[in-house]
Amino acid sequence: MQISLRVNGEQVVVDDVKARSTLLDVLRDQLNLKGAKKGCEGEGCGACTVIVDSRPVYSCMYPALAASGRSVLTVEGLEVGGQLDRVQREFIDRWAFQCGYCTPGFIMALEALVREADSNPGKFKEVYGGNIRDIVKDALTGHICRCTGYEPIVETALLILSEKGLD
Amino acid sequence: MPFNIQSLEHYYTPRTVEEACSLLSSNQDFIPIAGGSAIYIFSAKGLLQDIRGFVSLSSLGLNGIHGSDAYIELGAMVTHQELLESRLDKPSVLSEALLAIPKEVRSVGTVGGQLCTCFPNFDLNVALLALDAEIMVTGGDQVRREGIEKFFRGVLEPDLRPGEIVTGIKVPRKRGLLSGYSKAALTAHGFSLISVGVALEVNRGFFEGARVAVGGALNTSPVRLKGVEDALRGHPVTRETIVEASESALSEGALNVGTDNKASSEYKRRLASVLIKRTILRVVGL
Repeated sequence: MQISLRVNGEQVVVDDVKARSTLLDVLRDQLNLKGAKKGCEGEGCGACTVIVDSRPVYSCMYPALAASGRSVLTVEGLEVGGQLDRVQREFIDRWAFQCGYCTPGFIMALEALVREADSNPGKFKEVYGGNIRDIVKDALTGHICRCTGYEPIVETALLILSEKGLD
Repeated sequence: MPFNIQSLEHYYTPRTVEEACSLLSSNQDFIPIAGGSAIYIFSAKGLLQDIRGFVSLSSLGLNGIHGSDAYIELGAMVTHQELLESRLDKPSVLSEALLAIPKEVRSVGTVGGQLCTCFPNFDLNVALLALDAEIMVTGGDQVRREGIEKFFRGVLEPDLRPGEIVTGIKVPRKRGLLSGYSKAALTAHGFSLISVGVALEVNRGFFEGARVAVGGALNTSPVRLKGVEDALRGHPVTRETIVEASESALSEGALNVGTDNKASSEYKRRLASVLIKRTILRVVGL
């Protein structure tokens, strides 16, 4: 089967998509976007996270055919004109990764959170309640990192969100 | 890796409920899918080996979220995140269960999809059982309404006849309901070992109504513990009542837990009792 979707801002048509294929299969094997990683078997490691229509999703659990007509953003799509985006730069500056396997997933989850804050800052407390650290934890707990101990990642998230007046 | 279903060839996205039901009734090896995220889990376990087709319910317009004084009405395809973000006044047990689900799953997973798995580990199933939800089921022509306990026939065994799908859910609203959800898992957002949803009505210092639902690593779909409920109903809202009621979970026959690689059956039973106690104490403010 054939699907047409937007990937990192570009309209693409992918042929020979099987009913069995996941979005992660299509991204990695057919579109050669290797940023999103295969980590667990559906237990929720978060390494495969991409953004579909503004929401973070596990691409390994997302039927590829369900992505038809949608807009997908992967870690490869964040760079603009050779410049890494804010979340990527902050991850580097604050050493919020070590081996890097989980990093694209964390970055996309945080990216989704930042965009959510930009699009509707008032929604945050209403939906999630609690303080900004709880909101960050809610956004990131579906991700596993075996190197950093999470603190630099959470600190990075808090720094970026605090600049938006959310703390 | 693709879904581990070697026989899978077809993927349909029908535009009407009638068309979806007709595809399913004329092809007994097709299954309906909603968000599709649970498919991965079940296929990885080799549970869907003979399935030949998916019928996606995404284009049937089952996305409504409505609230009245009597009910919260949800279309089967409402995602967890849409429900969380909706301005509806939601019972705490519902919001707390939603927040126990990883955000990436909330984006995709639907109310109807997780319900149809009848899976005991899925947080919202436990909350909806505590809230006595009613399930709207149709085979294409007329809609029947079924209680959630009857609907949960067993794990992966919803009470659906071939060609039937769930179109929506009605959650009765009760004024002054005290409710809450608690979960114990090995990782922050992992599958629950045990989870508990309670919905309580208190009048003049006495428990007037009580629904106590337990999920987690059970051998069955989520269950109500009626022994615990009976030990609450009609009794004063005190720590003694709650401690005593929660202890009856230790001998509840309905709670069917086995020993697995994560925990022993005794441990799970004890955990159920402790979580029931803590959740009730928390929601009544003791």
